[in-house]
Amino acid sequence: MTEQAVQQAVVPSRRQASAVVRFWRRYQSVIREVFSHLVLVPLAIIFMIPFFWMVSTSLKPDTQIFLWPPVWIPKPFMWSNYPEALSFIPFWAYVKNTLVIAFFAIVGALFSCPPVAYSFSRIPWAGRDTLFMMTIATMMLPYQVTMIPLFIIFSRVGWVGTYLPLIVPHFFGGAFYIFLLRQFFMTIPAELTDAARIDGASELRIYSQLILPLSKPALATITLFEFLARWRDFLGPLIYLNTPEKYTISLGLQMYRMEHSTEWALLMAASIVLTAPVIILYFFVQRTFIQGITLTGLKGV
Amino acid sequence: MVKKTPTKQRIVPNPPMMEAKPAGALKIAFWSPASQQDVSGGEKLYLLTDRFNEKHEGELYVEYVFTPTTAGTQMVEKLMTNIAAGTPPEAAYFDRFIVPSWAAEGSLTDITELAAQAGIKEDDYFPFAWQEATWQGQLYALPFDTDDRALYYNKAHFEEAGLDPDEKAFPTSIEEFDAMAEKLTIKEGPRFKRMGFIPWSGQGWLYSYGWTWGGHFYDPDTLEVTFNDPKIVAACEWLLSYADKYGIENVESFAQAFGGEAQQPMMADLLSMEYNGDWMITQFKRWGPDINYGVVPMPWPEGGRAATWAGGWSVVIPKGAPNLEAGWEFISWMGAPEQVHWFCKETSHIPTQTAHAEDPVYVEDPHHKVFMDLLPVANCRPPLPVGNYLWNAQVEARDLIIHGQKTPQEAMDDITEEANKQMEKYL
Amino acid sequence: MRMFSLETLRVSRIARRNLFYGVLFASPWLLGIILFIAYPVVASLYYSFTEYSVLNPVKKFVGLSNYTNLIFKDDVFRRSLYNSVYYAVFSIPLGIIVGVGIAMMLNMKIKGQAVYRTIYFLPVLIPDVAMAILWIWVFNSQYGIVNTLLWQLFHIQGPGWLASPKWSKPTVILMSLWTVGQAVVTYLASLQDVPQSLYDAAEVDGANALQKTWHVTIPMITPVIFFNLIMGIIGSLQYFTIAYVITGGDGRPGQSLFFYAMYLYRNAFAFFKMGVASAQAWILFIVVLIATLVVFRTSARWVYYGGEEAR
Repeated sequence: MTEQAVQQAVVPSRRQASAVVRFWRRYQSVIREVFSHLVLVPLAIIFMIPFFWMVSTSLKPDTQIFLWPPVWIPKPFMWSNYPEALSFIPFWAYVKNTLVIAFFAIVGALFSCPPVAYSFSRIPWAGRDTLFMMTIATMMLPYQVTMIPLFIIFSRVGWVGTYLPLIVPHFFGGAFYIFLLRQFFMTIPAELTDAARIDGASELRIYSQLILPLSKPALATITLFEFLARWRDFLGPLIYLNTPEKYTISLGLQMYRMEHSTEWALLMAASIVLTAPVIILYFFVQRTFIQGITLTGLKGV
Repeated sequence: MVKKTPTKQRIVPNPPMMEAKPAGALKIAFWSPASQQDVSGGEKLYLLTDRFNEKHEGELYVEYVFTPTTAGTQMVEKLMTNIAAGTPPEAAYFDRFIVPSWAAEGSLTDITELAAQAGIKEDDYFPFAWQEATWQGQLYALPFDTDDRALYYNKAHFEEAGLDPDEKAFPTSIEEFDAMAEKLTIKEGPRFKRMGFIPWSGQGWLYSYGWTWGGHFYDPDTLEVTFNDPKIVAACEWLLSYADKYGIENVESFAQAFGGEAQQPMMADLLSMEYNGDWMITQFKRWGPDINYGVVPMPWPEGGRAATWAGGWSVVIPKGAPNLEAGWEFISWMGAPEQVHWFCKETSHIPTQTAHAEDPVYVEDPHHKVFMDLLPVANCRPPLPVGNYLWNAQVEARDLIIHGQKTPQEAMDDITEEANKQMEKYL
Repeated sequence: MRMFSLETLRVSRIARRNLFYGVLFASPWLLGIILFIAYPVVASLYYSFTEYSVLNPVKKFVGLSNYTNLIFKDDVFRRSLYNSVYYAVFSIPLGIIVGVGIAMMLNMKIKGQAVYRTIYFLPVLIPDVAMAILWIWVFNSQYGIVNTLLWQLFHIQGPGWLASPKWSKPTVILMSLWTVGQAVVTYLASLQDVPQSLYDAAEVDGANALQKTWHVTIPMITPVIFFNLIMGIIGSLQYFTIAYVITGGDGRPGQSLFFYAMYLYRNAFAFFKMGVASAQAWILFIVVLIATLVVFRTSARWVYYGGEEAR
């Protein structure tokens, strides 16, 4: 609001170069910054509520879990919930298993999805648009009805009980990432690739030396999403893994659930510990979001 | 408010499932949705499995595989998927009331003969447990533990409201009970501070009240579903009367505070009376050790009776398991009275075998005695292939009735019609 | 004549070259479709014409009756479809507006940018189960924070939220905004692709901040808005977990939170009606496909592809 009001004041008075304009020009960045914080801080508090509540529950003694109205600041802080939560289940072993799966799945996704997206966005071939629509259509059928036939395939090849069904398909593309990358590639100016083609660059070169380097934020996004997806995947590990020592952390978290109750404090403590690596990953990913495009090739566009 | 500095009673078990497996022995799997970290359940199943393995060292090794479900639902995705692919485990810990459904679909091994050879007889078990384990006269599961339901009430609240907190003085007539519930309810302006009773909290399912009102949900001779029994409809009317008396939106927003398993309304002093299962005794010890409560059978109207219903688990061999003999060796050992008894003692569950149920250990706690005394009159949910449908339908109907979207008669007629239509396939 | 045929020859040579590279680059995915997608999709289509319990391998062919029963005879089916469509219609546009708005703010070069970005992303990391329970508490109409604040600040008696069949769907739609962080990440990534030169050019033309946003920033991120719109249609109609946990699976109050996927799931894994569940899945497929095609049709008018323009 403030910003708009100032802007409106600026337009008619531009010719006169009034004091308002001079003031605005001088303090523009400060005003903008203050205004931004005024909006961002209250919103940030609202977005923090779930996390704050999780931290609070993770530190609660048993008898305060069910108090109503809920207690937001536990008394005393039960720091011991944390070591207890981590020894309650084979926490680190499950984290390691999940990381192994996530690592290979990410490698697979990064290896297989970008070329397909390149084909969909940069090479005009017959049948491309049909295949692209089909790609999107594959996401429209709920997993619940394809889960069993897919399981039967993996069961026939004897992969059930191993990590292969959870990893190998990622080396053959995923509709969600292909679509996302295609959207990104579509925004890269055509002049760039056209110019390279005229210079006689091969498709492989355009792809690997032009498109990929320009798509770092998009590739980072995919890495983050795939990591999150593997971190959370429940149904996949549930149906494909048959030995407890191979389990992933999302299955492990179910162990805090008892027959008629749940170990809320421990579950929350474990969840807090688990968010840490994702926050770290997120931090690095968002750093790729700050450079902006500063490539020389784009100067003339 | 809690005055004492709380201390944890929990003993942290060492994560037991990561140990090395012995080579040489025949390996089979036991799938269970009970977390082996659950000291009041799964862990004891795990320890039993372990004991079995010690006894069979070098010949047989059973791996305890925890198989959770999506968001803790009753779906059995993993087992179903594996049965479809023809790769089920040799043994599974199985919710007993769905045994007839699975048996009718041909996915459980018929163990009638094996049980007879081993001398396992119907007479050894409570009738409800045996009924649930059979379909069309054949046995498909060995009943394991059980539970049943009764009314919990907070004695301190009774004293505050000037009511007699003694169990012996508790009324058996539903009219008197309703009046008490009203007296125990405390309003603060437009909202409730505490309610005397909410029929649909805890274990307040239609089943619970249908039997108390003297109704029959199915005919055991013709296997016809009879949800529209006038007595069951009357029980629904009674549910509706609570919705009308207290205002459904007010009650629901009050009850929302303890929706699902996230809250325990009696522990939070929000509710004076609740219909719930015997397992709450353990929960009280853990979450509300200072609450002085009593347990009585649910009061009933004229034509009704002191009733309850029992659920519980069983052990089964899924159809198509690679090694039937090993599977039977294991489940017959697990399901034997000695093991069931040990499990139940350790976890405050109730055994399904009558012989051990008389053990004094189960009646030492006066609260638990109420549940034990009710067992002989306990019902089981209709042991029909549509059992799972009926369970969901009665939950849904309760919701629609109290929100005035269906009349009790309509809701019960609809379930009856749909269930009988589905039953045609199996008869 | 000669010129023309040479031209066609050249065009077809390029077309063949493009076909070769197009298929080559798409080959992992083509293989993926053949290996992991084709059979399950065909199988589920076949199931939808049968009575199939999963437990029993016998699949009895019943023609279209799974479809006709659902569409013409099943009240719960209609209600669940209505609930899901309602959810989609409101949650998708709201999610896009809020997501783009937050992304723009988080893209400004201000102090604490990385911290803000992390905070707005945090709710995405909270397990669904924990999230659901928290919302039950926050939106409790008697003691929840929302109604308490409404009363203390404005003296408004807040609604029943999750306890009221009228308010329950708006409440879960509101809740869905908390996890907008995932979409924000895609917008942020996309905002990096907006060349600075465009802003510079706009500046030269005397555009103010609002005009720059509307005429430069938004058009440049329309491809990702389009992506989130399509994924929103696909995802929101399959919405399931949070509502499942909040309502214990039965969609209370008054079935107002009984969503399409909950019914499908129940038919597949609790009622042994995989045939019916598959029919439900395929009906959903058709609904989503039509909605998606409509959006695709309109996309030429509002989605700006820098990579396509010059072609």
